[in-house]
Amino acid sequence: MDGEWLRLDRRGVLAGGTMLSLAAACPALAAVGTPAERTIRYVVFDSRFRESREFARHPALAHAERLDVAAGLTRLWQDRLVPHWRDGTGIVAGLTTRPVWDGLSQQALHQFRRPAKLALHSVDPATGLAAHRTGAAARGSLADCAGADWPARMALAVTACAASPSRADCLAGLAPAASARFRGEGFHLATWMIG
Amino acid sequence: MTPPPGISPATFAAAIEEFAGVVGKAWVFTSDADLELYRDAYSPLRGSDEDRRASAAVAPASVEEVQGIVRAANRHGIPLYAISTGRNLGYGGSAPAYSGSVVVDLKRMNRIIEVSDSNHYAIVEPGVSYFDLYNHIQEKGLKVWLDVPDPGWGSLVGNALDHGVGHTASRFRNHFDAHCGMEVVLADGEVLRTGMGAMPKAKTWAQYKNGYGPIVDGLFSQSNFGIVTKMGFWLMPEPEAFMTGVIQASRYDDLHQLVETLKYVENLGIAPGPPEMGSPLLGAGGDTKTLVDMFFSGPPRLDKQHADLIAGARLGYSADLERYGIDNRIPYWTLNLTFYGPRKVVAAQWEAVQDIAAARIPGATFKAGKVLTNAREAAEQQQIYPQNVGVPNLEFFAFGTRAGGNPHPARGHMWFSPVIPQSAEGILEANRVFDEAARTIPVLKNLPMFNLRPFSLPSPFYERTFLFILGFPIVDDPEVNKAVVAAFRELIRIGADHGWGEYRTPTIFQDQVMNAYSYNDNALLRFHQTMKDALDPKGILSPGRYGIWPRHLRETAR
Repeated sequence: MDGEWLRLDRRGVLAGGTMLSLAAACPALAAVGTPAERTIRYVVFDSRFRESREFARHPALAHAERLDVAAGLTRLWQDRLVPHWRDGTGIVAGLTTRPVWDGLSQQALHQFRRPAKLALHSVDPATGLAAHRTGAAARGSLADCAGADWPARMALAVTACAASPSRADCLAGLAPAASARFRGEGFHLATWMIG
Repeated sequence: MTPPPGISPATFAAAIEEFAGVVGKAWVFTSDADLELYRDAYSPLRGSDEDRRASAAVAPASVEEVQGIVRAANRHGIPLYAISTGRNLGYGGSAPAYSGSVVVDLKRMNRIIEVSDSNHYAIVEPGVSYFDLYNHIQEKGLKVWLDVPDPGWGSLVGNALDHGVGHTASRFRNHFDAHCGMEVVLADGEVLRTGMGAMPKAKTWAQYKNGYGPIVDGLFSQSNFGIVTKMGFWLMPEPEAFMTGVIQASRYDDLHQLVETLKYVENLGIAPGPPEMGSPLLGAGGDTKTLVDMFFSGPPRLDKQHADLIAGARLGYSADLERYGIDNRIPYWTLNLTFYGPRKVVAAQWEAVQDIAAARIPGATFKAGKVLTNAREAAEQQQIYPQNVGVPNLEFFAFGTRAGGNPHPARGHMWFSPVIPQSAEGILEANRVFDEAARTIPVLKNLPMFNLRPFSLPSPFYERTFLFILGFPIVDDPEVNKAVVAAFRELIRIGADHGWGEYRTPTIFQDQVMNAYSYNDNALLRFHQTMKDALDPKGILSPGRYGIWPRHLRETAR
C-alpha cells in the first residue's frame, strides 16, 4: 500500500522567510520575506460589489492577476490558488465578502499558509460610505475612512503591507483622527492577505 | 514559548527538541504567529483567558513520526491534542480542549492509500480532505461517489471520528458507520489495526468490519484513547441516475403522516437520500439548497399578510395561516427525497413513494425533479445541491450565521445539536420547549438564534432520529459571546431534562454534555475514565476531549 502523497511544501516556502502573521493588526504583519514573497500575485475580488471591483482594478494592484469570485469560488480556489499555495511564492490579496474570506482563509490553512484579515468594512449600500475596523477583533482599533473611495485606499494599504520591508504601521493612513463606531449596518466586506 | 501547565520550561524545551528530531525543525511550530492558526477561529471566548491555546504544534508526515512524538510526549509528560485538518468549525476547530496542549497536526499525513471502484472503498490518512479524495477520484476516472459534509473541506478521518454526517444515501451519510477498519497509534506508541487489518495478510481491511473479537473501533471516535492514522471508508458506486422528488402537504396536521411516511420509506430502503423537510408556508428551509440560498440572500420576501399570519402563528400554526396556504397553494410542509440508482429503479422508487404518501396524506401533491446522470455537471449548473451528489464545494461556506442574508454580522458560529425522536410529536415538542425557553428564560432572551423561528424543522442526516440543530452567531462583542455561552449551557440543560442529548458539541461544552449522559451515576463516563487510565496512564492524549480527562487532571482541569 504505497498510496499517493498530496504535495504540501509550505515549510519549503517558509524557509525563504516568514510571510504574514495571522494577527490582523498590520504591524504584526511585518515580514521579512524575499521580494518575490512580498509580491502580490493574485487579487481576489467579487464583481458583484462595486467596492470590490474598484479595489481590484486599482493601479497599485495592476501587476497582479485578478480572480473573480463571481465566476465560482470553488473553481477559483482549486484551479488557481491550490497550485499557487502548493508551489508558489507571493501574496494573495482580496476585498470580498466575509464568507469568501472565511472560506479561502480556511483552505489556505490546509496548506500551512498564513491568512491575515486587515480590515472589516460595514458598507452603506446607498452611499458606498463605510465604517471600517482594523486590528484584531478583540483589540478593536476603530478607524473611519471618510469618502466612498475607501476601496482605493485599501488597495494602497494592501500594497504597502505587502511591499514594505519594515511594514511599520501600514494601515495608519487609513485612520484619520476621527474614528467611528463599527455600526454593523449595510453589508460587510473584508480586506485580507494570504501569504 | 509557554510550556503546558505544570511542565517546566526546561522539560518543554527538551520535548520540543525531541519533536524536532522526529519531524524536522521546520514542522515544529512555536511562534505566536504560527500558534494563532491553531486557535478556534469561531471561539466565543476570544479575548478571554479561557480561550484555548496550544503551547506548540508539531506536524508529522508518517505513522512512524506519530509514534515518535507520542513516545517523546510520554517521556516528558507533555499533553498532546491530535487534529486531522482542524476544520471542525462550529464545534471547536483545532484548539485543544486542554489549553497548553501541543497540537499534533496530521495534515501532512495526506496519502490516499487506495481507492477501489470494484469493491467501492477508500483507505486514507487523516490529512486527506474530501476535496482531495474527490479530486483524486475525478482525476483517475473512478466510478465511486463520496459522501461529503458541509462544506467538504475537512478530513474524512476527522469528520468520521467526530460523528460527522453527509448528504447522500443513508448507508453513507453516517460517516463513522461507513468506515471499515482503522489504524491507531496508542498512547505508548504502539500501532494497532482494527478489523481485518489485524491480520497481516488480509486483503479485506476495508471490506469486512468486524474482524474477530470485540469491535473496538468506536473507542477511538469522540474520544482520546489513540491517534487514528488510517481509516477505510465504504463508498457508493456511481449511480446511473439520481433525482429529487418533493411531497407537499397542505394542512398543519399533515406533519404527522409526513414524518411517518419519511420513516417508512427510508427504513424500507426505497428513499435512500437525505429526507429534507421544509415549510414554504412558514418560510422555513426545506431542501438544503433553499436553505443555503436563504443564508446568502436573506429570508424569503413574503407579502405583508403572509408575514403577519406567520408572526401570529403559535408553534407554527394558526387556522388563518393554514387557510391562506390552501387558498394560495403554498404547502404547509414539504419533504424532499433523493433517489439514486438505475433510471428504472429511481422511477420505480419515486412512484412507490408517491403511492405510499398519497395513501397516508389526503390531498398530498408531488413534484418530481429532473432525472440527472452527471453529478459534476448537475452540481456546477446548480440543478441539485452539490453535496447531495457527493460533490464538495466552497460556495456552501456561508452556511450558518455568517452570510450576507443574516442581519447579525458574525465572525463565527456554534451549533447546538440535540438528538430528538423521529416523530411529528418530537418536532413539535422540541419547538415548544426551546421556543418557550427563548421567550421566558432571561439568559436566552434577545439573543440571535438561527433556525428556531418561526418554526424549526429537523436535520435529516441520521436515520431513525432527528437532529434539532440551532445555531448561535459568534460576534466581536465579548459580552454578547458571554451571553451566548450561558444560553448554550442553558439549552444543554433543558435538552437533557427532556432526554435530548447532543450528538456533538463545541469543545468548551464537552464536559457538560458528557455529564448529561449520566445514567446510573455517570456509569458511561466512569467507564471511559477507566479506559483512559488503562490505555493512557500518563494522560498525554488529548486531555479533556469529549469530556474524558486523565486521572491527574480530573478534578482540576474540568
